[in-house]
Amino acid sequence: MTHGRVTPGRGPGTDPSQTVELRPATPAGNREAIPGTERPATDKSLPPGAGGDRREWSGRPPGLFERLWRHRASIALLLGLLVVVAVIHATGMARAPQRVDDEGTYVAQAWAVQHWRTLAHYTYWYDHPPLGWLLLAAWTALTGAFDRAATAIAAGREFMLAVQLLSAALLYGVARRLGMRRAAAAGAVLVFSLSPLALGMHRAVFLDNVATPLVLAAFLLVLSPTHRLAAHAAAGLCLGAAVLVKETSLLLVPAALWQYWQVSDRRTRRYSLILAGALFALVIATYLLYATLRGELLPGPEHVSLVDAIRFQLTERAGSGSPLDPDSLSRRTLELWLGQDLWLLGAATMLVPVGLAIRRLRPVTAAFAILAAMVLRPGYLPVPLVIGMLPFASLLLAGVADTAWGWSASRIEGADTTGRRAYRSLALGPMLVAASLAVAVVVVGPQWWQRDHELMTVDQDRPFRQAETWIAANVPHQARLLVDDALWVDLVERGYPPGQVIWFYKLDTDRDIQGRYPRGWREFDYLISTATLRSFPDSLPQAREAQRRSRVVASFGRGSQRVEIRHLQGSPL
Amino acid sequence: MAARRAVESAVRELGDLSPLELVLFGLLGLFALVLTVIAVTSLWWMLHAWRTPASLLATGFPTSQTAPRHSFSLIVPARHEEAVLGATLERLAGSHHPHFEVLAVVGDDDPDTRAVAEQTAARHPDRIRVLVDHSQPKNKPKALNTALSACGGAVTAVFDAEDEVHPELLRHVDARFCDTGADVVQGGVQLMNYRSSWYALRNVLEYYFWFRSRLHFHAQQRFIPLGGNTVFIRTDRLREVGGWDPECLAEDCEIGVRLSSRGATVAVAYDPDLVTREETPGSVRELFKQRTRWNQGFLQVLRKGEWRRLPTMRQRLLARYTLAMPFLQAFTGVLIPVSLATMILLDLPVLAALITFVPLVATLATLAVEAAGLGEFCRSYGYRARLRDYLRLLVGTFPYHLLLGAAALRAVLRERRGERGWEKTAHVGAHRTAGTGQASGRAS
Repeated sequence: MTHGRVTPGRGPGTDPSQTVELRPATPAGNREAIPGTERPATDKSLPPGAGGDRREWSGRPPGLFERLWRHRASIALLLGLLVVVAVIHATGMARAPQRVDDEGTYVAQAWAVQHWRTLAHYTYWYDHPPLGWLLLAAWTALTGAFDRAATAIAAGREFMLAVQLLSAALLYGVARRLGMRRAAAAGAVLVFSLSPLALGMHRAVFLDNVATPLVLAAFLLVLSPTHRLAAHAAAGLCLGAAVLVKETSLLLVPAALWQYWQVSDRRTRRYSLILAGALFALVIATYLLYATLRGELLPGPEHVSLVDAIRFQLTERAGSGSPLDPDSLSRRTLELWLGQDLWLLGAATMLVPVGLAIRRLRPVTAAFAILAAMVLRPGYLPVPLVIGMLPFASLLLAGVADTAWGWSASRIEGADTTGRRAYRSLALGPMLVAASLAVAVVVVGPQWWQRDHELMTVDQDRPFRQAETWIAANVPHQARLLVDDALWVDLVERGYPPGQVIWFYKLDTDRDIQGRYPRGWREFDYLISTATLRSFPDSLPQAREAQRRSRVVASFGRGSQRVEIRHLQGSPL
Repeated sequence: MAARRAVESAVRELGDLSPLELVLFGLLGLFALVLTVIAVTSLWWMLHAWRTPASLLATGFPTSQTAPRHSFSLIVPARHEEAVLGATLERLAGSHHPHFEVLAVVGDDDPDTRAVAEQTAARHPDRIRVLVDHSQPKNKPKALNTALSACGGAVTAVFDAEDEVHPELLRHVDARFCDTGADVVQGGVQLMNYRSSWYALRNVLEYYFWFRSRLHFHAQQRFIPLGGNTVFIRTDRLREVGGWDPECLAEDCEIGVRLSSRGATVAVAYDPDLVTREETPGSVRELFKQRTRWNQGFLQVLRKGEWRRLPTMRQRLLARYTLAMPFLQAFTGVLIPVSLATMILLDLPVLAALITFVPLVATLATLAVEAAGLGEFCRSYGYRARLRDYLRLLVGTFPYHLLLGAAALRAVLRERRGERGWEKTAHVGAHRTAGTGQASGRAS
């Protein structure tokens, strides 16, 4: 009441004499001036126990360099690991394993995105959501991969190398956030990258490989140590994107949710869950919206539709039979996997009960188990499904080893004073882990080394490249070719018109192609026969007929991996 | 090299479009970008309090009980509010704190309210004083300035005549002052009657997110438009800056901006048990008028330019953005559904349609977050959120934003025409339990 009279009729603050600096204006000065307000989380000067946990942090997190410096040991280790992984993955990645038609399809679709601005080189029929090859196209367009690499598949495999390095780094992060020691996390990365099964699968241009880093990123973000809302929201986005890359990622949503539930904080769960859920749903909704906008959501005459495609994938696709039936396709797929490497999948499967018994490993164990259970299901079993299992199998193995190691270590600490007990339980866990590792090095090591070495040195792709060279030298550009998709981009880039190089599969399935070639195989001059074409069941009558009514003019490679160039009877040329 | 070629080919393809198409496409992209930025920042700041569990913990009042160290002067300006003022003053007088006074400010032309105030003061002569405001024309900041010169407490607080204030609030605010050393403590204000009307639910949620979360963001950024009540300011600081701006329609926001620009620190605290309970405007018309006044006030604060004295560029940008927000928000609220309709009704190219979907993603995510907020609001205050409430939330979205948009437009027009009269909101006491506020108030 003694001062501070208000001047009537005058806006306060307009008189310079009233201007008072209450506090120094710089944020740093303010923090000094007002102890306890708005401190950054890292402020060491905050006295312990002075309600420090109640302070509102400053919005400024520690600088990037500071954060990286805190993880310097992990970063150094990880960089070393990535160099090893990169060298082994990259050496001979264009030569082995032999390309398969799916790789060709995705690469061709990316090529179509880059050159034609369409989602596929044929009518896009919603077989898979397109984000995977859109990302691949971004890579090839921005790095000029199609111009640089010897073949289109090699260009795609470059992207797989980048994706694999990203996945390996993320896997390390997930392992660390699950509380594993650095050695265990490094072990997970090595197993994930060096198992011959993993090495072969990760090199191939499969959508599942593109989905892996997104799924791992979702797990990493869910495991945010400070339970950041932004991290959870980003996890929702990543998981949604993973589904748009490969729809089988949907199977992992329950495991991701479980992981979230296990570690999330009750107080902020409501918002982080709804935000992550909304973003997940909205990302997927984009795909539905795309189909709706093109009038291709619901089935109708004369057009493809998303609903038709889903129905095909879920019900109409021929089942692969039971893995217990020795003649089934499912059994063949399983043998293909285990033939590459029995140990990773075998050990992970055996350890599922152990993983479920260890609290922190339950969600990742569940992720592995869900995908493994798909093998036993009677429906269609795609070969690349195993790619989704690999990171979780690696986490499971490393996590169990890490727990076993820590289990006895804590026993020793607890029994420190009673010397005798401590002696008896001394290093039981480490001994177990060391013994398992020794067995692994002695038994598994040589096998892995041999197969990895093969994958690094053997040229399984040569028949394809030889066939391409032969065609370029001997087949005129006006010829009409029925080809495996794995050759499509290479032939088109060598000057064969895209309208005359036809993926054999489309002659039986695509309305456009059938309209353009009403007489089917009779309108073509050459058929390029590959393992895929020969293994196709009788569901493709045109392809089968073309195979029967043609003779080999050139053949490259041996056995099932051979590539034949066949001249069709009554060829128009 | 390859990247350059990719860009070149994209540019070439754009070159193939006709100039009209190019302009439309560019506009659409820009439009989508602006809408997305607005929607995402609004959503993100709305969620500020929940960004980590630790930050959520920091938004509450301290639990430690310290001995009261400050004295308080609680100003209650009242105008034609005889129906609700008595109960408010009674409740304030019953606050559990050793050192405080209540200053009821009434106009010299408002005998009914004055009578109620004096009756209540007579029952609490040691706590309540009645001050008469002789200014012409009357408004809230002038009433506050009248009281400021009479304030004896170290801390001056503002309450509205219809506020339901928790008796423990003063002690907690006192502790917050001790704890933070701040110049200003802003307590929570919460509209309660979310079932009264279709717009009440949205209005209630706006308050919930603003006081529960958004204001903490502003406190942290050291730029804050303060709330109209349950705001506690050190009396000496208030006098140093010369009190409230008597001509501003949003005097609360203005004082906050002015204090911020002079480096004052603000602590915000929210606790569902301690919030000041209020009611929504009684009709759409009232809501519309109130919102017009606020928006016009924000415009005035923006034009006055006190925020230009904020020390950092970041703060000044935030100030500009925040003060313009009512208009931007109105713009997004109305235009996003329009763009949705365009997408469905017009035969847009697929890519163009997908671009318009981007801001919609943020908007729909906001709606989901609002639903979560409704659930939490109800749980915090002991209500049960029903399906009907969620449906109301959903259905009310568009008309509510339309209303906000219209109010923003009206505010701009009024400000341009120089109409700066004070359109006061009437109060009936719908936030109080039955029996305390039966009579109807009058709007001035």
